[in-house]
Amino acid sequence: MTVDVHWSVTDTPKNHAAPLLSVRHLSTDFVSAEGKVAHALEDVSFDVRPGETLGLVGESGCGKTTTMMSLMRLLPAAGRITSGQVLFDGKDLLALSENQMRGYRWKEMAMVFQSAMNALNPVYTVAEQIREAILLHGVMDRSAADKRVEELLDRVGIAKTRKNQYPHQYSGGMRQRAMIAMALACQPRLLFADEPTTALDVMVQAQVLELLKTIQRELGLAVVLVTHDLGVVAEICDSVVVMYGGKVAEYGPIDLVYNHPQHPYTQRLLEAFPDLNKPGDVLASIPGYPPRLNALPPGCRFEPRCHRKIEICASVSPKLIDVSQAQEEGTLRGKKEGELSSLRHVAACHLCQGPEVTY
Amino acid sequence: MTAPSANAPPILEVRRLKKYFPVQQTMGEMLLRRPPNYVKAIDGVTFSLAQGEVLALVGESGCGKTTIAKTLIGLEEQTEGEILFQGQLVGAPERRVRAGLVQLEPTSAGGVTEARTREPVAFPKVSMKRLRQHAQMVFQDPYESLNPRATIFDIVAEPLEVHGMARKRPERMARVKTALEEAGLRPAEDYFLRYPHELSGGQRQRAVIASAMVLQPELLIADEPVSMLDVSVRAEILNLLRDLRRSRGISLVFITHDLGTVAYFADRIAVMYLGRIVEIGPTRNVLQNPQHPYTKALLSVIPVPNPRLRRQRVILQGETPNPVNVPSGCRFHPRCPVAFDRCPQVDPALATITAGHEAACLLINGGRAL
Repeated sequence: MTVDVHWSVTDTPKNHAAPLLSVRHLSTDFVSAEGKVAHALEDVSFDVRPGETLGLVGESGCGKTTTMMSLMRLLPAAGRITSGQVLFDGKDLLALSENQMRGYRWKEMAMVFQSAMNALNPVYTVAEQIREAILLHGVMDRSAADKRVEELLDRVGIAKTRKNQYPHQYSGGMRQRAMIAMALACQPRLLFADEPTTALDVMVQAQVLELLKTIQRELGLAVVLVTHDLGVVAEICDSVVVMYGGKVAEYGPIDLVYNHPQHPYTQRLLEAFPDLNKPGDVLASIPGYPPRLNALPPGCRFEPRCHRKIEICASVSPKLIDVSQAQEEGTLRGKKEGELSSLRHVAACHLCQGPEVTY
Repeated sequence: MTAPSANAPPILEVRRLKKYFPVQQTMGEMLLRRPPNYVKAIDGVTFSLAQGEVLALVGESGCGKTTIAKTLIGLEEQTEGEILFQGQLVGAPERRVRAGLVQLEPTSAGGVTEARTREPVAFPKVSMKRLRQHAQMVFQDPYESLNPRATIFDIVAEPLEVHGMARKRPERMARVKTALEEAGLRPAEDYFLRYPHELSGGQRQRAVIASAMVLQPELLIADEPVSMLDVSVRAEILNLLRDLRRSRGISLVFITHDLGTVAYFADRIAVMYLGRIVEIGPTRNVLQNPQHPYTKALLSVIPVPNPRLRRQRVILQGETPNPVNVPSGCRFHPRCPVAFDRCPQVDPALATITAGHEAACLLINGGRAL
């Protein structure tokens, strides 16, 4: 049995906000100089609607950043997208020429990079760099751009007096704010944020997350947040994709995934997180290490580390199963009716019961 | 968790510890003979650690946590104050004498005392080398703290060599093997001839722990031992430290910015802000009944992996001030959500809330802290 996934079956019209970004069956390979192939991504599918924040979580090397770089088509030379579709507002980005793609980058989809120190140019002032982004995309002339820079910096909470300073004169939090200002320069509709708070202190992290949240709400942005921190995802995301070994392990509304995790990997990840309210508990750990992408296990990629594996796991790769029927309605977080709740909960595990998902 | 016995003498005592780093002056300032400025990395910290206890030092970057760790192990020389390890004064005061920081005076008890310290101290001294036999450090980044050109065996055996222990090869092999196995690298022989680059992050941190544990120290100072690791591996390392503590009864100073990990296995927490301890107490008390506004704010912003628990967060504005110009009065007052008129004037001392739980805020006990 299969279900058609344009998850709108029982929803009110407001729910029908068409996804701004639809990723379908995206696969990406990396080819080494010796011709060895590593399957960095395989069959990744998810949707992001306007106003939605999607979290992309997993350990290092699970393909989070590769996913994002594939979507922006900014893969390094060794990477190539082997199949799939990336529909942005209905248009397949993978079918565009490089020139056409340039029209999407920054104007439609912008990115906040992981390390603000390395992403900002040390020999230009912050204002110059933001202005460059505006002028390069030709959305306005120089004097208008100068004004826009001030507006943007003000928007992210950087004092005007500091706009002509260099990145090294900024603190880590301010650099990240400047990166956000730069990403917003051309009024994109989709924002990618790659570990935007990883190197920051908790308090500064809270400030930056709060800023992202406010901006997202005010501008109605769609946000894809890449992080390894399950806590950050729980704070600001509406939905979450848990990745493992280049594949989607579990995907669904944040409340369902966190409170009723179906994939053993998600379950263990959540148990491995120390809980302030239960000090002294034993932490679950996941023995072993994520698979190497050039030597993937033949069956389920999590099988070698799984605590609940059965015979079939070693040989057959599990399909995505729709598990939401079992845990229907009422459990969704207190979203107003019609907001983002049309998303189903899916997991790729042989232990899950339910109809298989096709996109 | 077993509470450390209260009447055993503390393994570590830190009294009024200060560490100031001089700020490089410009030529002009030197010619004008301006008094030098100091980065006050640690500005008067007092705490003690009982045998077998785990104390967590928590705070944001720049609050002085790492400087404390380095000073404890003698990688930095304190500017003022004493560190006592098992009742013995740590550090080489002679060096400070040479630097003109202190003068030594003989005492009747046969020891020496430092004239500039407020109370006379007459403790037998322990040299740095002796200290490091008993107190070891685990550094933050396992990618940088292992010599890339040495095998794991050499790395773990080096402390034995330095301290002239287990000189015979079979004995040394046995010690290294036990250390590696205790650190969870099993079978140990498989790792002897490997190089750090052949290990994953979690395995490297295990190797770091093995080389710290090979001397069988009584005190371990761990500076952010899991912050560079993935979540699933992080749990393994935390569990390992916890097991070591149980099986070997070591005491641990655990430095972290992550209150979540602290809750997991610290007995006591010391929250630091700008070189001072602003709140210290048993883990449960501090986490469930925080008294200092800074602790409250820190606790409220920890991301919790439960979307139903999105709480009211107290987000402090701005960033930690520069430790060169520490704010007057209470050093937290410019960012404090509940500051009042006296805060810029009065520097609050630690006041007792319940036994062992202290915080430095003028509002504590209804302002009776004064």
